[in-house]
Amino acid sequence: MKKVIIAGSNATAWLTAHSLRRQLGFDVTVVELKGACANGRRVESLPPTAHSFHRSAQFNELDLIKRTNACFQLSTHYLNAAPFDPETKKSGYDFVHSFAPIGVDFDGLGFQHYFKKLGLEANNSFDDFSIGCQMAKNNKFVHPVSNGQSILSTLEYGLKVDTLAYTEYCKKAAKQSGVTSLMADSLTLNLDSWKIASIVLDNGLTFTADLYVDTTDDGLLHRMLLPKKSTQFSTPCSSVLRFTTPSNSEISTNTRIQAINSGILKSVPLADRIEHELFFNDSISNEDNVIAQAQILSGSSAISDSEFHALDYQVPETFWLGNCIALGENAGMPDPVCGGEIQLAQRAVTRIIELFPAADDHALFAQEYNRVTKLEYSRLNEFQLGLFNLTHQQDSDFWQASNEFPIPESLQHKLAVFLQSGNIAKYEQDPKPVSFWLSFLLGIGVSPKHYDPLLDMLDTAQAELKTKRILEIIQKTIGQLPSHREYLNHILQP
Amino acid sequence: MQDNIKKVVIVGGGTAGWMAAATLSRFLDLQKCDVTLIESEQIGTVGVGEATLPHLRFFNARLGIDERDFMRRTQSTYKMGIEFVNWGKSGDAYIHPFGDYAHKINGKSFHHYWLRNRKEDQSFPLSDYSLPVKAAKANKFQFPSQDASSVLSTFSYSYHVDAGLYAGYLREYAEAKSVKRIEGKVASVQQDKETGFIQSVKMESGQIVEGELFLDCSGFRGLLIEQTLKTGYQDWSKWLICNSAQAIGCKSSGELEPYSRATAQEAGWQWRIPLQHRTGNGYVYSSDFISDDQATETLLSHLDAEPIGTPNQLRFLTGKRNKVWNKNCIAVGLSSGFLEPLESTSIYLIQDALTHLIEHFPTLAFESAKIDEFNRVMDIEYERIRDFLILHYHATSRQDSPFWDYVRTMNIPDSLQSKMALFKEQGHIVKYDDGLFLEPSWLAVYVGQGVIPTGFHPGALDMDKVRLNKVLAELRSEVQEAARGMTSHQKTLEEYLKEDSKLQNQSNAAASLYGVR
Repeated sequence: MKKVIIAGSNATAWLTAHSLRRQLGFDVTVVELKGACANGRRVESLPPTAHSFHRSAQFNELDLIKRTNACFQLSTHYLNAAPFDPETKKSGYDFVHSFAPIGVDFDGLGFQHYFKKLGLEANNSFDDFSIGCQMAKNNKFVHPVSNGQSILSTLEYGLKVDTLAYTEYCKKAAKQSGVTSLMADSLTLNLDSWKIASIVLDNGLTFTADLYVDTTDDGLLHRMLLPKKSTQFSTPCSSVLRFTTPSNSEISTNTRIQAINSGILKSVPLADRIEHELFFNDSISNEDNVIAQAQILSGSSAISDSEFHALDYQVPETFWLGNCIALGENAGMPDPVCGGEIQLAQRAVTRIIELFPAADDHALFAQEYNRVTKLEYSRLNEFQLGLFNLTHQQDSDFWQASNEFPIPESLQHKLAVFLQSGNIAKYEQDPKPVSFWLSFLLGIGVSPKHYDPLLDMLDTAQAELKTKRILEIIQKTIGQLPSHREYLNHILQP
Repeated sequence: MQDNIKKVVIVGGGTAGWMAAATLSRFLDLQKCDVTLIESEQIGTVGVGEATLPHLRFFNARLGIDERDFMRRTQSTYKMGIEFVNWGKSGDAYIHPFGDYAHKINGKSFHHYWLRNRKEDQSFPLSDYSLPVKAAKANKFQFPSQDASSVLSTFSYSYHVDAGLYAGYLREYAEAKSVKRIEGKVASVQQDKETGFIQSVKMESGQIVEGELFLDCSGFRGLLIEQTLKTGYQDWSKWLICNSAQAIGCKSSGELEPYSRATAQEAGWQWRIPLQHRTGNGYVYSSDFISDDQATETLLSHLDAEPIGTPNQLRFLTGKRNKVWNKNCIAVGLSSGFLEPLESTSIYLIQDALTHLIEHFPTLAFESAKIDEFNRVMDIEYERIRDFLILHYHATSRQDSPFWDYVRTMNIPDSLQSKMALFKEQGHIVKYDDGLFLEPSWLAVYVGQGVIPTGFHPGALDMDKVRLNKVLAELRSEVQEAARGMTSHQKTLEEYLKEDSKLQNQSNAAASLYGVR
């Protein structure tokens, strides 16, 4: 049986431990290093792909919600506080970006082409055609249904989880499935060229394993193995201010991302409070300004638990080196705004399981893991840079710098293809589906110059009727649905 | 209305030209956009691609073609895979089926359990877990089920088709939808002096045919894409060294097989494709290793019935045009590149180019990002198929001729090198999101050609031996019983194509090689 040692005590550590134990039956030990995992964000939005991970980890959703006070997420609400622009006559965008695809395709052509050709933008916004967006706007929630006839079968949702509660949940599950754990104040390594030969805890105990997973904030093991400094992911932000405000009476199914003068304010409403993160650049705004801005934006609500945190995530040159894998923050955060450590960890664990080497020499599989992970991280970084590139604010030094921030060729190409054809160029290893990119780009205001020319060859009268029908059905359905809080109360009642 | 294209010219008939014409006539309104095809009866068509992939069903379905009518008119038969004979070593044979082997167990790929079982216990061939293989070897065929819980849904199918008849069939379709056809040879091509865009072609008769968008379906020579636009070509012949082929039909013989056959020969391989009215044959070889006369001799001596006519000689260079879409010209078919028909990808690549053209159909602005995106996805498609084809040659232990010595020991692309290494180590198959040949296909060829991993995924140790043996035995008997219950290929074909047939095909056509389960 393979032996795995995981250094760290965060959600990443425990869910990795649990999965390796549960799915591969390995002998897994977690070394809970004191103070080594203190940086993690307080809350995380998990996309719909988390469900399949939870299923393979045998996490029951209801149980998870009960024990972690999690709630549902249907969409991200993007808000732009940009002032009125006399040229475009627009006062900034404001759109809901749902996990579910928008509209329906007719005759094999995407809905976006009909939207353009039929001139639907005159009276409607793109998100009017999404049940997910409309539910989110009205604070409604139900689970998707399996009946393909119902519009509710197109719904997709994620979960908003409190990170500490989720960590505890994973820890309990891991221990139940037979993961052992040890506490330590510090540790040292015995090295054997590029591999870890053994790990020595401060109490003198020595352990050896086939694989070491490093989830500590600073990548303690990884750095002892390869002290070389690594590069940083590109982002126009340098720091984040985290703070908490009390919750509203309704629990939103949104996560909110608001463009403000000095950066981005991300707010995640939970059942009992709202967690905020204000992303900014400290060469443009100082901390006092940022705190003041946070206070203004929170209105009368009291700000509590505020703390600053630098976004200086270092990306190791290789994620899997010898017999040691860097996982979590220490392996870089390609999208610190919309992404999160738990999402990254869930995908990484799936990959580790798939590529777990039977032989002692990991080189071949490490190489493949690194190749795929690097691709995935580039995709996530593209999305983040897209957000900063496409959000505009006048009279803001931060946004001026962000709009000028260099974007990779792959993103330039994706944007150009979309502008010219309304289609999405799909890249390998992108965790975000085509429909996600599509509604994001349309929502944020990238308007394709053309619709598909084939549409001029089709009779669009039928499609026009159908789009009207979609709007009616969505409106009718919304009226019949319970609110998010009602629904949570209903499923959680004993 | 946008600035739409109002005149499309297709240069060249044949399978590519008429597939293009049929597609455009289906998706464009010919009242608003004129489509003209130029072909010359004096120029022969290659028409090698008589074996197809399940995607062709999808193509036909999108055109609204009735399967029975199509099969009657093109002398088609059914196909569930390709048998490769003598590839790994002389005497070997395996089928690459249009279907998966068994199914995932506890979320892990089946073949890891098979590898474990093979190592520690008894060895049953991988093919025992594939219904399309078992059915094909018993010459059985019936339409796959749509019920994803049934073993009868574990495969898809395609056709063996007479490419010449198919082109004619599509010509009728396209002409009925008012595609114009001009008979004759192209004498010269006129380009815009500044942009280099093609403006018109001048026929030998003196007629000038103007166009806004040109599809080059002129075959290997690439009349527009290469001779006019000088697009350039990536030569892949250091990996895929065959450069010649001879094709010949022979009379039908024996029971009708629901699969094609590719038999490795001294300096290449020979195809055998059973149609209703005859059997298609051909020898794909490298003229650096044998002479054309020797090739003819080999081809003729391996026919299983009396030949029809004399062999048709073909030459080619494997590779891909630097840009499949250049300026206002898109190469469709052999003008875009050549990959030998070892995995029946020729017609598929025509179809693929047309699908992407429809997806990125230009306006008169000829948006550069659309062109770049089209070329990007075509490049990826070509390169992935290339690697898969190279695997067939490279994964061999044959040492019986200089040809096989070369391919066995040649340097292969890094992309393939690492894929093979991962498989050899513990059966890991590199996945990609979109692609033609996925896990079941790679597995079939690796194992079929004797690439057996040293290890297996450690996750396959999650049940005890007794239990594993029981699970595997059940999977085998499921396949065996299902195959036994199936109808013969010949009978299904006769039943389906007769005048007042009651037999219905319930299976959906999809853009996938494999079944539903």
